[in-house]
Amino acid sequence: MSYTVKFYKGDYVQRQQAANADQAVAYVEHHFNSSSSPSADYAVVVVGSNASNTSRNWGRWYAKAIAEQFGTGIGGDQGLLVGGWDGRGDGNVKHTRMPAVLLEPLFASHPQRADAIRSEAGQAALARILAESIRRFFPDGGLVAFSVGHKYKTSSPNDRGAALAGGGTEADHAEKVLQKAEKLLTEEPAAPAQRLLRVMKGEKLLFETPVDEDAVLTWSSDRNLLFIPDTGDAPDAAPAAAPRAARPAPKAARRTARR
Amino acid sequence: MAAIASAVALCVAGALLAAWPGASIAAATLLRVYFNNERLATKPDDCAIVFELRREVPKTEAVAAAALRQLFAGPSAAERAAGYRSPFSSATAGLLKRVFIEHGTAYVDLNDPRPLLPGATSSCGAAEFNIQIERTLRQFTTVRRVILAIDGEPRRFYEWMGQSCDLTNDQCDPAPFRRRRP
Repeated sequence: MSYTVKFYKGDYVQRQQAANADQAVAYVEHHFNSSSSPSADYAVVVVGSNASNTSRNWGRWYAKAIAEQFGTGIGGDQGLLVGGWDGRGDGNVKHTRMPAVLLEPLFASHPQRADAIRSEAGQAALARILAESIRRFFPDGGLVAFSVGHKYKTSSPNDRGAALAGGGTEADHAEKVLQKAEKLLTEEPAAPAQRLLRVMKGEKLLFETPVDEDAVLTWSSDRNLLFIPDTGDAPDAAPAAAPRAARPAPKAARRTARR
Repeated sequence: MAAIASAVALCVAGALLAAWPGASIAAATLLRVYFNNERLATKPDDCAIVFELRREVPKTEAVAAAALRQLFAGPSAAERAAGYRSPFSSATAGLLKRVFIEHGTAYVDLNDPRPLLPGATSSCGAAEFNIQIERTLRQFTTVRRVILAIDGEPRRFYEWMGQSCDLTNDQCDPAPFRRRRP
């Protein structure tokens, strides 16, 4: 499988129509959320009022992964706002013929989250989760449509969205995240089919090993031990190769951690 | 019809006055505005929960306009210290161009808010922006629905909000705003 990524510009409906014409397999519009309260802190994804189950499951998976990674809450209905808030945002994604999500992973108005959005590490983490989500929900590859929220609109060319607490704009940083995700999707090798267990410190991969697809992992907090049962036919649980900090996460990785 | 609506709205404002001890009916109009409050909200991820604050303004029959002007000026410093939050502030105090009520719908015409409120189109920002306007206007029993426009063009407002203008709704019809030119 392989992915190609194309950035779409113009007004939102035009972007969606162009992605339809190109027969994209998935559509991602990246924003950040914003509130007058600096403490607002949750991940949420808007899908269209006509969203398919794939869009909904993709959005929920993404919001949960973001919340786990950054320690935020989860907004909406298990991470999802169907049709946006009272229709706001619906028009950004409801005109596609392929699964589509409008991402609001972090609050630009939250000072700590704004720091993360500005940082290379934060952008890399956001990009990795997005790339993982695409590999998971669209394993056959294909054209992925990216849309930078606010930026490049014909009708409002100077719009950059919300201000980040401490400086910067929503749109410029959303674009950086999408550019990093594009790189992960198009330049890294396809994810292996096998299930992998990974240990990460921030964005750094410390340990990685294959485990049996059906293995039930048990965490002992008393012993600080993650026990992997030896089923006989499982792949060797030998120490992994050298850490590969910047590579994209395989599609099965997060499932592994949550089982 | 508009005159009847204004009269009813005035009665509502009068009823509010009667409910507040010490209010001087002759000298002032008492109104309510609604803001978010991060201390009072029980669901921190719900940006559409608002709380009432009272405002006393010089006596007026144009209560809807008076209430919106108070809203668009935002919470005071003391109110902010008490946890009240709003996208509106002194920077947006001049946001209201005009408001009129027809057949239960409040038509709110704004001076262009887009440069002043760049975060108002996020899901949380849109909830805060819209619910504060809606609740402030719906204190008047004559208002059942609110339609907004930028410089008389509702399509401009709803497209800014990422909300479709199509056959499924009539919110983008500019005719009411054109019928009632300022």
